[in-house]
Amino acid sequence: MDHDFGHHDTTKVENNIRGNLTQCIDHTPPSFLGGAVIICQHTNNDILIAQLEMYMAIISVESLYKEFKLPNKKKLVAIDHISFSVEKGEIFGLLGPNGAGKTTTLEIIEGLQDPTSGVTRMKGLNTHTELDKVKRVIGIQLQSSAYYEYLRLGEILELFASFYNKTVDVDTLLDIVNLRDKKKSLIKQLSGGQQQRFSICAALVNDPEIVFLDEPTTGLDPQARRAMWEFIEQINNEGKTIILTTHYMEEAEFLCNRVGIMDQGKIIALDAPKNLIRKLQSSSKISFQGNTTTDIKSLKEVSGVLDVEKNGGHIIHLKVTKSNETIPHLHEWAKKHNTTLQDLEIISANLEDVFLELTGKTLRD
Amino acid sequence: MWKLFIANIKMTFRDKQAIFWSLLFPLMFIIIFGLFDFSKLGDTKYVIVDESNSQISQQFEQGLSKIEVFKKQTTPGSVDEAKQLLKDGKVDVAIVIPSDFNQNNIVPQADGTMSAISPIQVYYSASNATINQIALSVVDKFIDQMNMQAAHTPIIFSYTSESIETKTIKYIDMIMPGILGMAIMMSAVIGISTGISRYREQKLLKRLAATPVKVRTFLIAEVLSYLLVNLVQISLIIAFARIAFHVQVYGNYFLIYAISIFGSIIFLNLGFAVAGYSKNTKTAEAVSQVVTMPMMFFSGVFFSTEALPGIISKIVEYLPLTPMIEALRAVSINGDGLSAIWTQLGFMAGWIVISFFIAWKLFKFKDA
Repeated sequence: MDHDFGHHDTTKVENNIRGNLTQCIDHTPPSFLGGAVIICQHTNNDILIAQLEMYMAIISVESLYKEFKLPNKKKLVAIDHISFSVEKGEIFGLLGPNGAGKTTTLEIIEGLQDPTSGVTRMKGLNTHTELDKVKRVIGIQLQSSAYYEYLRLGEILELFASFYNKTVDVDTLLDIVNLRDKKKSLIKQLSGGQQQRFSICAALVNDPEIVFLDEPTTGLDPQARRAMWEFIEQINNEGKTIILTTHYMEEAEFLCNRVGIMDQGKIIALDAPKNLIRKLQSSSKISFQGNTTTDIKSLKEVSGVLDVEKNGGHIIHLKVTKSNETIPHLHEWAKKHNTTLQDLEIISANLEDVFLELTGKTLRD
Repeated sequence: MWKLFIANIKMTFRDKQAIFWSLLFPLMFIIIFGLFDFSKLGDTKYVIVDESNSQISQQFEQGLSKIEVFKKQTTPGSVDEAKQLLKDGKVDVAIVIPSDFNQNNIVPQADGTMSAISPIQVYYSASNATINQIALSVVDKFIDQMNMQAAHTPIIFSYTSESIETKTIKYIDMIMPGILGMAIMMSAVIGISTGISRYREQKLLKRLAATPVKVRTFLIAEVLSYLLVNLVQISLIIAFARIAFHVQVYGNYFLIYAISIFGSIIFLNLGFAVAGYSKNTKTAEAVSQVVTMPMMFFSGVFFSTEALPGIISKIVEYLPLTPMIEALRAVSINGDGLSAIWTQLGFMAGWIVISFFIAWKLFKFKDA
C-alpha cells in the first residue's frame, strides 16, 4: 500500500471528466457506478486514470460545515467548510489536537450527526438521505463507547450481527484481534487494550467495506498501541478501507497512506505523511558533538544549513533543508576547521514538525 | 428483535442489583407486613395497689386477671410508686383500691344506712385513648356487677354471643395488592430510566444508532423484556404471600395479571420520559424517585387513600398508581370482576395515552 493517490495535479483533468462522468452516471444506477466508468468510451488515458481514481473515492466530503449553538447564544464552528475524499483500500487519517473537529467530521460521515451544510457521500450514497444503505457497508468504533455490561463478548458479537440479519463465526472474528480465549468474558473483565481491540472487532461483524476508528489507541500503553497498529494493518490488508482519527503523529505516520491535518475545524494540509514532511522547509535535523572552540558562525554559512543551536553539553543541532545535500558540505567544513563530526546523527522531521510549522503550536497542547 | 429480547432478559438476570430491586425488595415488604400484624393492639399493662386487702378486693383482682388483654405487672409498694410507673410509661393503667373496700362496709348497718365507701381510683395516661377506654369500661362493668351483687338485684337482661364465620381480611391481604402495584411501578420507572440513561452515557445508544437496527425494534424489545420481568415479579410476590402468609386471592388471577401489565405500560412510558428528560444516570435516579415516592406513600399502597385529608385525596385519585391498586385490591380481596373495575381501567387507559405522549415528547434516541 504505497500509492500516493491524488498528489499529482489533476484539477484540469478532473474538471474535464466531471461532465463526462455525470453523463455516464445519469444512465446508470449509483450502485453500478464502478462498472459505468469502465463501460464509457475514452480517448484520453489521463481521463481514464482520473476516472478510476474517482471511482476509487469511496468517501467524499464536500464543503462540510457544522456549527453548534452554545448556551450563551454564540456559535461554535466545529467544522469549517472542509472537503476531501478517501480512496478505496487506503488507510486515511485525520490528525490533529483535541477539539480540532476530527470526531465530529467522522460522525457526520457516519450519519450519526447532521451537518449544518455540506454533503458527505459513501460509495456514491448520501450518508444522510440514504443512511440505511450506508449503515450496511460500514463498521464503526466509537471513541470510548461501552458495550453491554452483562453480556459475554461472544453474545455481544452475535447480537450485533443479528442487527444486520447476519450470523457470524464468533471465533474467527475474535481471532482477528486475539481475543478468542475471552469469548465468555464480560467487558469489565478485559484490560483497556483488550476493550479497544474488542470494539474494533465489534465493528467488523457485518464484514464492512469501510471501517471507522475514532482514536483507536488513545489511552493505551506503547506496547498495546503497537499491537493495535498491527491489527489495523491486518484488517486493511483484507481490503477494507480504513478512516481513523488520532492525535498521535507516530500513529498517523506509521499507519496512514494519507493524512489530513486538522486544526480548529479546518484541514490545513492533506497528503501522504512522507510528502507532508518533504514539503517542509527543513526536512531533517543534524546533530553532532562539538566543543568549546566550535565556530558557530562559520557553521551557519555551510550550504543548506538553516539554523544552528548549541546546547549545554556542546551538542550542535543544525536545521537543514535536505540532509543528503548538506552532509558533504558539512564534511568539508569539518576538514577545514580540523574537527571530527563525533556522534553524527541525522533526525528526519516528522508530522509533529509539520504541525508546528503550519500552526505554530505543538500537537500535544 | 427476538435476539435483542433474549439478550435483555439475560442481562436483567445477570444484574444482581436489578434483581434485588425488582424481585427481592418487594418480597421484603411482604415479609415485614406479614410478620407484624399492625391491626392487633398491644396488651394493656396494669398495676393494682390494694390498700384494703380484703376478700372482696381479691375477688376484684381475680376478675381483672381473667381478661385476656390485661396483663398484671409486679405490684408496687405505694400509690406514688404506681403513679411514677405510669409516668415513665412502664404501665398503661394503675388501679388503687381504697382501704375501706371490704365486706363489712357493704353489709348495711343496724340503722339501715350504708356507709359510704371511697371510690376505686383508676389512673391512666392521657396519651393512649384506645387502651384507656377499654380499661375504663372493663373496670366500670366489673363494678356494676359487684354493685348488683351487693344489692341482690336479679339479672334480668342478658345476652349470648356467637361469632359467625366470615371472610377474615388480614392486613397483609390488603397490603399485597398494594405491594404488587408498587413493585411494578418502581421496577418499571427506575429500571427503564436508569437503564436507558446508562446506555446513553456509555454511548451504547449511539453505537446502536450506527447499526441498521431500528429504534422501534430496540424500544419494543426493551418494553417486552420489562413486561416479562414484571410477570415474574407478580408471580413471585403472589406465590410468596400465599405460601408464607396464607394470603387469599378471591378474584381471577388472569385479571390481576392483566391489570398489572396494563399498569406496567404506564410506568414504562414514564420511565422513558424520565430517561429523555434526564441528562445523565444520576439525574435519572433522582427524577424517578421524585416521580415514584409520592405515589408510593399516597396512592394507597400501605393504607387507604380515604385516610388522607380532602384535597390531597382528590389529587391522589388522579395519579396512575391509585386506580391500579384500587383495581388490584377489588379483584384480590372482593373477588370483583371486570364490570366492577371498569372506571379504574378507564383511568389507567387515559394514563397510558398521557404517559405515551409525554415519553414521545421527551425521549430521543440520538443524543444531541
